[in-house]
Amino acid sequence: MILDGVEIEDTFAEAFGMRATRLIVTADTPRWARIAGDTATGFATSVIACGAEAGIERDLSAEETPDGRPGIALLFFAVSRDALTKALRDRVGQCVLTCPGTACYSGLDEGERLPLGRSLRYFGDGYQAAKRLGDKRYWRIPVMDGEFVCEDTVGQVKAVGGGNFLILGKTHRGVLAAAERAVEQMRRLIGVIMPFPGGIARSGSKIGSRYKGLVASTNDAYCPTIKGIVKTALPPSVDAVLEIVIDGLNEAAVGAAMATGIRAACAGNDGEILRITAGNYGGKLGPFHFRLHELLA
Amino acid sequence: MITRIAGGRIIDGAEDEGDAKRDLWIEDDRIVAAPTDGRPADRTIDATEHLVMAGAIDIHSHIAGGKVNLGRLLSPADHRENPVERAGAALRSGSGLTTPSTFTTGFRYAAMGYTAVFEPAMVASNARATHLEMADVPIVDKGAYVMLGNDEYLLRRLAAAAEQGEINDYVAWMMQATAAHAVKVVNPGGISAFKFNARGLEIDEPVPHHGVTPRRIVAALARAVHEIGVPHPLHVHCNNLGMPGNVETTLATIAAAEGYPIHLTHVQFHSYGSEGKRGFSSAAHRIAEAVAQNPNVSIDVGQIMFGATMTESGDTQAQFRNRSLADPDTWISMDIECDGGCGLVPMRYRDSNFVNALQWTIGLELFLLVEDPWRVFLTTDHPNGGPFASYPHLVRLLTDRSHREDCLAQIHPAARKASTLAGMTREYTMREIAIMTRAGPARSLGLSERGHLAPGAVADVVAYRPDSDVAAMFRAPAHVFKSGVEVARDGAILAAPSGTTQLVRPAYDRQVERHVRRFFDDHMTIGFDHFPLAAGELADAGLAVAEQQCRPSAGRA
Amino acid sequence: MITLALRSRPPGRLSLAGVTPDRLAALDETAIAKLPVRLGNRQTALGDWFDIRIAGAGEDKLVISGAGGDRLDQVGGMMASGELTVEGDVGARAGLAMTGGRLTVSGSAGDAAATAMRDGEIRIGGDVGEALGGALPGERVGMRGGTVVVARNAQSGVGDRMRRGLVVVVGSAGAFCGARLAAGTIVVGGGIGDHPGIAMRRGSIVALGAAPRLAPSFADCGVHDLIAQHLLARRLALLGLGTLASRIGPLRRFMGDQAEAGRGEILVPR
Repeated sequence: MILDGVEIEDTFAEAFGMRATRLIVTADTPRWARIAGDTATGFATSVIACGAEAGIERDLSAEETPDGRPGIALLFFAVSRDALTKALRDRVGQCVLTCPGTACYSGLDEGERLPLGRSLRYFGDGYQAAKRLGDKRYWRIPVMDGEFVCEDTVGQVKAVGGGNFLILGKTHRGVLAAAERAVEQMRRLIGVIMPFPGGIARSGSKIGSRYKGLVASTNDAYCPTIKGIVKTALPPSVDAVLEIVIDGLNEAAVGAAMATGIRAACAGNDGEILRITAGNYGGKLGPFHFRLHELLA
Repeated sequence: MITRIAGGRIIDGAEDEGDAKRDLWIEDDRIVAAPTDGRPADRTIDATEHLVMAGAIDIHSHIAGGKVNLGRLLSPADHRENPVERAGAALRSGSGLTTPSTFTTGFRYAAMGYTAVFEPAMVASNARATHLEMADVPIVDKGAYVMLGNDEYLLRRLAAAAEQGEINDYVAWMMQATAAHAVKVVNPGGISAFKFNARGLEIDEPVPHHGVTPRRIVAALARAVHEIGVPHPLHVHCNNLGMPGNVETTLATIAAAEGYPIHLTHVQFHSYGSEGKRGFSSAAHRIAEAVAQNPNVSIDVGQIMFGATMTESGDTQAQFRNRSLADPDTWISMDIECDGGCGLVPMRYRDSNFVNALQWTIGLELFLLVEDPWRVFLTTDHPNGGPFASYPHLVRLLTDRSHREDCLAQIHPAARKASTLAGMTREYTMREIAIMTRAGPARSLGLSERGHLAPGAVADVVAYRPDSDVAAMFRAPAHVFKSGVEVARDGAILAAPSGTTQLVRPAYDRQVERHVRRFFDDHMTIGFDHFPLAAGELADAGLAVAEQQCRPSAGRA
Repeated sequence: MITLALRSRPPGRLSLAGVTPDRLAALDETAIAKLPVRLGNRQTALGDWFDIRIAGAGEDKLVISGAGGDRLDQVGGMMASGELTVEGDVGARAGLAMTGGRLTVSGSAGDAAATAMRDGEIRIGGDVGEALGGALPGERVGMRGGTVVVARNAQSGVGDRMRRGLVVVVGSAGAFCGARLAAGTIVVGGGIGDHPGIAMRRGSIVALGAAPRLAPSFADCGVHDLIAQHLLARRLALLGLGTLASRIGPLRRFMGDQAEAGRGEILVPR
């Protein structure tokens, strides 16, 4: 398949089951909502060392939030309910509770509930109070600028983590420009995040290492500087590769994001981009397979 | 007026004639022999194939007195959720299942075929109110047991090593003063000890302040009751109610009676071992053995039935211990005069709770292991183990093994495993049921004209329509006669005559009144002259008094 | 829709507990007429008092109409779902122990409306008597959930011992409003009587009328415009109470009752 002169390899991205939730964080201004969101989703590129993968889903207008203030929607992904519970508690406790003027709500009403305000309330040292309005229960925790309001529990769903595609091109500059085009379009979608820096990863990894105890290591088959001495997957003219990794609330959202990203990366190609491919492990590890040709059909 | 109850199977526990199919004749308020002069019946009740028994007698049911009113106070939901409409011009409305109002208590008992109920825990200083409240319990005959053994006067006299004769006089005086039918001792010495901050009392442990042991109290009272000739033996609620391992206390209490007759009440709560990894086990077999070996002992079981109920007891120690189990979380504990105490704790027995489930099996084990139906009586210690309305289900558990095993299958698995109930094949016969609910209690209480169907007996008669579901059969008998009046039919009340108040009046040497008067003057809030119920006071309240004879025995001073 | 038209004012208190749309939906007119209802302590039948009309099937809607409804007690009692509309007044304990559904009374309600309510919604077009959302005699807990809106005034004891839920009185409330409150929210648009929130442990009383006299066991915690107030205003707006909601701005916060657990709040105009 050729898309805007770019070869789309007939392969698939292999993704995994995760647990995910959405938080809505509000603040006095969009700027402070964004600061809270950036902080709470920082250092959250990979569950391997960060506990969770997280990102900003989108900005919310005052009309879209529970308390009528500007806000931001954040998505969090972890490998299990327990891991997600812990990640939420730590990240909201350290990054949202501390952030001036914020409040934090569940942005997902389905699924088994995870404790959030219920765990954080103890920060109130006995001065916290619960407030139930309608079918929602909030904790009000006194802090130095007023009260931190945090919903008692949040919903969570089974989600998909690790959707991906790789952009192969002639130069680093060209590949980065294509990846940025892709991420810009993908960020307009609901239900997905691209957890790596700026949405883009350069360090594709393979499972295992020659060093004992290291579970993943650089994906040498895609590293252009050693392509002459390894069993490379790169055509001779490829000198730069970047990857976009996608976590989504469901399979459809991940697929749609991949298709959008690939099209955006290919659109306006001026010959810099040579091929789009995807990472997988032979299809035996992850239950979700995103075939590039099917996504783009 | 002559009534013929025709075609029924007569099951008279007192007369071992098997299942006799014959007519039963009633003339006015008495059972009579079939008329030989050919007089026709004024009315004939078709009781073909019905089981015909005497009216049932509940030997231990908390139906009146301050604690019952406190129980009502603590259970508003019971009354809100169980309204009983006025069902006829002569009848009264009411409410409540676990702590029913007075009228409802009488109607519900009568509708189930009960014609006599005994209130087992009358506080002496509250006797007047208790009787007046019982006067409002329609249809059934009533009687009350006065609580002694924690009263300050008796403990002082025992501490002073008073002669048995003086004790006898005091007990007899107290029974007359309170119009009691029998004497009960609750947690001997323990209620007094509670007032001195003792939270438990062993049978050989001296009561603080007085230095008297429960063993001594039981011995003195059992002997007194026997010697002044009260028909019903000392009614004993042992020490250590509900405590794991309390079977030792119960067996020691039997020994303490020194051969004098005693009745151990709600013995289910006193038949616990302390084995197993939870430290709580059944000792029903040891109690059953002791009953078999000691002919002076009778028991009632105090079966627990799963569900919500109210526990009402004079045993402040036990109720104070139980307060943490209160469900809903509200309870009362109080001292009363120099007489005793009172504790109320709402309770919910759950089949999924190991302890409750084991209690349930222990009660049933007691029923099934005690072989002599004349010495084991059917009670739930209403409402402590469950409301009396659950009796029909209890009868089914005793008479229907397969139903019992269905219920057993649903309880906490560890309790099921720990219990020997599964292997018990015994099913009570209807004759045994008739003994344990009629003839036995009547004999124990000295009610010679009740509990049987011989000519001359009071015409308290129940005709049950046979039903494969025994519980349904016992819930709403086809016909209930009280003193010859048909009071209930198919569970509905037809008439509401007043029952009698049963009492005994043992004789005493009036010398004792001088001592007690001095004690009242010094310590009681009630004046001595106002304390006893005066002659005619019950009659003035509309109560028909029926006195049973005392048979004083040797050894009295 | 089922319509019960009251023929005349009953001679005593008639209890309609259990006469609810969810329970009547499956019955025909004859069966409905036979439903037992208590007049005082006697059992009577619904058909003794009401003309019954069924129009359309399968709807959980019940309408009670006719003058003399002030003698109808426990209207909507035990209701679990559906919609019950009363055209006129109701007596005591309207919505008793409701667990769901919606009860609308166009007129006034007597004492103890919404007592022991657990969930659902009650709207009263007129006034209510004492102990709105309160506890039944002898019970330790009043209303445990749901929403009650009274368009006019309430007498004393609003939300006595209430544990959860929202009570809104658009007009004024009498004395002891929110007394012994365990938790939950009470909003009063007009004046509020003496001793508000006395012995309250947690929960909120929002008194938007003239500032009430408070016991000294309530501690001034200053004027705030809290997020919780925004959330409450949002909730009121959703209930169609936009005007009331717009009055929730910065409010002075008193915490009490310090003679009890003291974690409750009374919010009053600054």
